[in-house]
Amino acid sequence: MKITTAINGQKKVLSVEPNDVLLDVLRREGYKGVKEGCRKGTCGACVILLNGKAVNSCLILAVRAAGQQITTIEGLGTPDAPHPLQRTFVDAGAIQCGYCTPGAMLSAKALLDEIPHPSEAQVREALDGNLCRCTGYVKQVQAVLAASRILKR
Amino acid sequence: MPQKRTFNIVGISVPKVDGVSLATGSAQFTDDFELRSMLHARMLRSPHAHARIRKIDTSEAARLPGVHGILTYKNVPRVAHTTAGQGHPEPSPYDTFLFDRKVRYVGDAVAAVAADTLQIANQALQLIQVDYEILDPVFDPHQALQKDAPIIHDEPDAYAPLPVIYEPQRNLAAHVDMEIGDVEAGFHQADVLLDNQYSTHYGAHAALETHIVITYLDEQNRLVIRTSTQVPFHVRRIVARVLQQPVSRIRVVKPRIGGAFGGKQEIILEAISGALTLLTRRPVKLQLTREEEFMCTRTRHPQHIRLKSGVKKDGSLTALDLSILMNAGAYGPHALTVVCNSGSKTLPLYRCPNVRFEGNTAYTNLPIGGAYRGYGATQAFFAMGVQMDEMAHAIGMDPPTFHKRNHIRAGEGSPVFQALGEGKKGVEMKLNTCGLDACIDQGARAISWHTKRRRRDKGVRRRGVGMVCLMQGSAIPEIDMAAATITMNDDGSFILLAGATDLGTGSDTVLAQIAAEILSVTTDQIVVHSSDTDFTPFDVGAYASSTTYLSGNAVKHAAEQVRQQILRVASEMLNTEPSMLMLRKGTVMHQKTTTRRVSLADVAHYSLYQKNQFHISATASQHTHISPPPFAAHFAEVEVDTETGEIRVLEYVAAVDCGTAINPALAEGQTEGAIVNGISFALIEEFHFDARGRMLNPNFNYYSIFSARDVPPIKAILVPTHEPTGPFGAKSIAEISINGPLPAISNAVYHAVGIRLRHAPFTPQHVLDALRNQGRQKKL
Amino acid sequence: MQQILPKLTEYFRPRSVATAITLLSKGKGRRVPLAGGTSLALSTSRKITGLLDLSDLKLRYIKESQRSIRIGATAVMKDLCKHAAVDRVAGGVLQQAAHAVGATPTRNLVTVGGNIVQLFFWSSLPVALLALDATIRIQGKSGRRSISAAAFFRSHPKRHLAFHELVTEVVVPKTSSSCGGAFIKFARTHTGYAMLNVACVLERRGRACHNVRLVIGAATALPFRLRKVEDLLENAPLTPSLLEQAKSMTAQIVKPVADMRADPEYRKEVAGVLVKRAIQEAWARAAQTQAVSGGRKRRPTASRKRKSSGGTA
Ligand SMILES: Cc1cc2nc3c(=O)[nH]c(=O)nc-3n(C[C@H](O)[C@H](O)[C@H](O)COP(=O)(O)OP(=O)(O)OC[C@H]3O[C@@H](n4cnc5c(N)ncnc54)[C@H](O)[C@@H]3O)c2cc1C
Repeated sequence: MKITTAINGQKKVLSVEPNDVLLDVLRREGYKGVKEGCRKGTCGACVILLNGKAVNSCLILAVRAAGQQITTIEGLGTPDAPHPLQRTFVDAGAIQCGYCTPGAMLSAKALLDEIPHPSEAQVREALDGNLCRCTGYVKQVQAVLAASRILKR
Repeated sequence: MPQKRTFNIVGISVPKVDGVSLATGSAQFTDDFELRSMLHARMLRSPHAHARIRKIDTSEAARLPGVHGILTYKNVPRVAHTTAGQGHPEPSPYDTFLFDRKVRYVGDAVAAVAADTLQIANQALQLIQVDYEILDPVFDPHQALQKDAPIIHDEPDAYAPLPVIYEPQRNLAAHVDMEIGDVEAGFHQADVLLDNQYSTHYGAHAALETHIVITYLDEQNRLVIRTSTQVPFHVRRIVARVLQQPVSRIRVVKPRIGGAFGGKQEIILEAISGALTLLTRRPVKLQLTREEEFMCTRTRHPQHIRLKSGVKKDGSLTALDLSILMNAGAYGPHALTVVCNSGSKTLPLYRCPNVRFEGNTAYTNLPIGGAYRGYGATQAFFAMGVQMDEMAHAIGMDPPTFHKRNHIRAGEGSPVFQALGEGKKGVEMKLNTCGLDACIDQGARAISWHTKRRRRDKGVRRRGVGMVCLMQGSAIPEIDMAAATITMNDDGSFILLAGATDLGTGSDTVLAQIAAEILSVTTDQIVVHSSDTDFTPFDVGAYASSTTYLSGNAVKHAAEQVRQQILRVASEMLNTEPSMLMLRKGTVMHQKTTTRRVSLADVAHYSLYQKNQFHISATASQHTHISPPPFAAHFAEVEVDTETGEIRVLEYVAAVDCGTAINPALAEGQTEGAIVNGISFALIEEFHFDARGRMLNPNFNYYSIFSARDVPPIKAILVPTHEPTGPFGAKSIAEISINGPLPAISNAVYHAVGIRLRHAPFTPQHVLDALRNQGRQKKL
Repeated sequence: MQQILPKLTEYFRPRSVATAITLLSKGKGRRVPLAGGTSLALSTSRKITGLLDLSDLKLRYIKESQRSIRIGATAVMKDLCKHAAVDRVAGGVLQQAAHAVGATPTRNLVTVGGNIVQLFFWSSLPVALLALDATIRIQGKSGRRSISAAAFFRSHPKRHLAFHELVTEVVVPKTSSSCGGAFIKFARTHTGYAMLNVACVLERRGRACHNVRLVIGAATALPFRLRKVEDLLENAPLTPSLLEQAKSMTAQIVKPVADMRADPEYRKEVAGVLVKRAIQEAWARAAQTQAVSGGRKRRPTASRKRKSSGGTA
């Protein structure tokens, strides 16, 4: 089947099987920032934004993306023009292996879009679907709060 | 006292050199790489805990269109080896074969298939017919050592490559013992004797990226292995041996790694994928599912610990007797060294004239133990930390005072250092630094120890605080080695080729900082490449908390040599003596007349294009005679729900002496991450098995780990000391803090409700049972 | 690692419930509704050949009328979590149950319809809906029907829903300000599967409770009402000894099925504790709502919620 979606603001026509999982299709299309960690919706490495909401791309059949807006980490910012979250994650030391980072950052982006100045508890809740075994989350939470302060200005 | 030293880049939390690429998703992990006509491999795994393969028929699977290669024990070389990536010859038994006639745990490798797609590979697995002769399994390490127990490694060709005790005919995978002084006499001198049993459980590393490898043949028909590993050079050596290829025909490339924690110090997939590539002449990708990651990779070895100790009323220790029975699981990677570490990283922490240690490791038909951050110290510090608390309590001394009275100090050694090594004797070592007193003081202050310690809650939910002291090592003395190469580019920037393996820890950044400090540039002037066996010099890899201390020194020495070369060239250009020159912010200048100067770019250009040309570059190697321990004091505040048995950690403080923190943010990050892993392990992580040895919860649904929402406030305090043998005074930090949560939480629970938790994990049911027993005992 | 829905060939995205039902009817059970997809996208069923995506049926709504709140079948957990009217029902018991479902990215996907049809023993929403005495609206080829949550969860919903039937809506009666409620999930982590779920809804009149509804989930395959405990509490002054009685009675009634994470004996006992706590919390919330006119006072703060969620951390 052919479906049309918008990935990171760009129109894309994808050909997919009905049982293709969005995670696989995005990776196949070159969005390697979408990571695979469990394929069961439990780890959050594959989190993307679907119409602005953080969701597990391993739990979404690709056909459902027809007509929808998808954001992956590649759409958040570039090395030359990083999103504030990308800057604060680097500056705060919130990235260790970096495997969970794209998903965590997208969850944080969805939060900041909805609640620009979240409390620490709200940040922790927004990140609760993105498991991280390296950082202990301390600096991730700091990074999200720092980004929210930057966005405030 | 540590002198105050000022550095330009060392000691500063510069952003990770790979930070931006990771943050923008452009960083390349193993799987982010595509090759044309790549095959996908899957493995057939044993449904039985212990069985012999009577017959295996792959013919139907081979006929399935799209299947290109199948491996079983019939068509691979039979080479006894260990999957442990360690110094060579390894202290682990050679008890593993790529595939064998026998399977020894549920999930053991039976066959591998490479096919055009994963689906076809999966289908093919279902077409392989295996006739098993089911053997009696044994799951308990005590039972495994009994006379009539089934023998797990009855193959005649398993052996230990080093002269160590290895008796597979009675399921003994490793044994170690030592005695210093006279322990029995020590017990006689004691005012208080304690004798307790402890146990620790299986744990999963749970790196977010599962084990994955891609293998292919390059234009010279050499086997290239792109793999998520901590030990690229060990991978090369072991794969070469197992596949009977010369080392020169193999190249191992380490891309970005999605977490490892010891789990990737193991050669699990590389030889299988490599064999499939050699068989099919095609690129092959082999990635484990999360389920396989839980069941079929490596785990934290469970231990049964008995600790007997004697203490006098004045607080001095008279004897320590630690004996451990460790469960290796079905194979023995790290079977000896982990249990050695349980003694060698815990016993020297306390001054005690009489010390005995015995470690035994038994094979069972359960998942395989291996290296896991903490490496045996985690298990033994649980027993030591709880028992120290109990001894302090028994003689009525406040734990911080008790620890201060007994811990080892700078200038002191311990006979244990000498007695226990890794598969051989250890080394004599006197400590240059020990910041433990300051750690205890600062940690106690941060958690308000003295106030909280006085509190006694009465209600349903009761709070308490507990503490523990810890140590680890920095690299394995007389075994580990690291090398680094630095070359200068024609614009005055540098390339750092490090054998060291950054697995997310930030070691590329730390090494870049060390080079930048010597070369007086910023880290963006240092391009770091880590671990490609064709291009970077040798390094044993990222384990034993060695990278900053050992690889850091290699980098430092290489940078110093490059610096000398730069000064020499500049002296030629400026017509002066090298000793009259100094390097400052990318320029070489005369010490007196600073207007006489040349830029690094000028120097590089001169050396490459103008006169007496040569490439400014150097390679340096490093090994070590000692392993300076980092120290830490950990403090936990908990709340115990006496109706449900739930423990909630309210606050956690870790004060750590890692020498100089080259990059404080990264050092804190190591600490925070280790603590959360440790708390999660202590409270909720658990392997469940059915009666036939199958893991019931190989997924994050039922093997939960902490999310951001479950984590208490954590405070990491870095307490500086200056280790003269480390680069800029650095010791290690990566592992130590995972050892704290089990004992610190147990001790806090004792303070809260008066029960001693000696068996992990501290699940609510376990805690409630303990509370009940306490109630019952009080009534008696 | 098996392939997801290996026999899947059809994907439909109907724009009306009527078309959806026609498509389902023609599928003879081999086509199934696709809601959040959080279960279906993991399914390896070889029976399913077609999916009917419910996304365009305009069933994602939460509507407030005078006496009830109507929740469309494709409203997701996150919608419930942040909706003021849902928040006000019985001390926020429904909101708390929705909040207890998995983690944020999952709560953005899991639908009300999916969560109640694909009932697992640890499922959250069914427990709250039983306590709230909700009504489930169903539409099939022979028309519409409404059944009580009690009837809906008497056996597994997948057993009694016809293959051509869709859950279209859940109706939750509004509660008065004297009504309080609480939902407690007992799990290893905040986002983990429940080892026990308890919901309580009650009215507070003077010193006594009325119309108490107590539901326990995750102990057995289906959630159920603790009628005997409800009777015990009915119209009785809520004293500490009554609470203790409720606790031990619960422990006697509940017969948990095996769960690898804890023994039945333990879960039984904790069930009693949770029931006691749920009653206390529901009572406290009822008091709070009563104290403020119009019942618009915000529910207890986050820290309090944390405690009551019963997670390990
Ligand atoms: C990691 C993870 C953790 C989770 N944790 C929890 C938890 O703690 N508590 C909890 O309650 N849930 C939890 N869930 C959700 C739960 O497991 C189910 O996946 C979810 O409830 C299904 O809802 P859905 O909308 O995604 O349904 P789908 O997957 O789309 O459908 C599920 C089934 O219901 C049918 N169906 C769906 N909607 C309708 C309808 N309107 N009418 C008729 N039939 C319908 C479908 O045909 C299908 O058979 C979790 C899920 C995941 C992935």
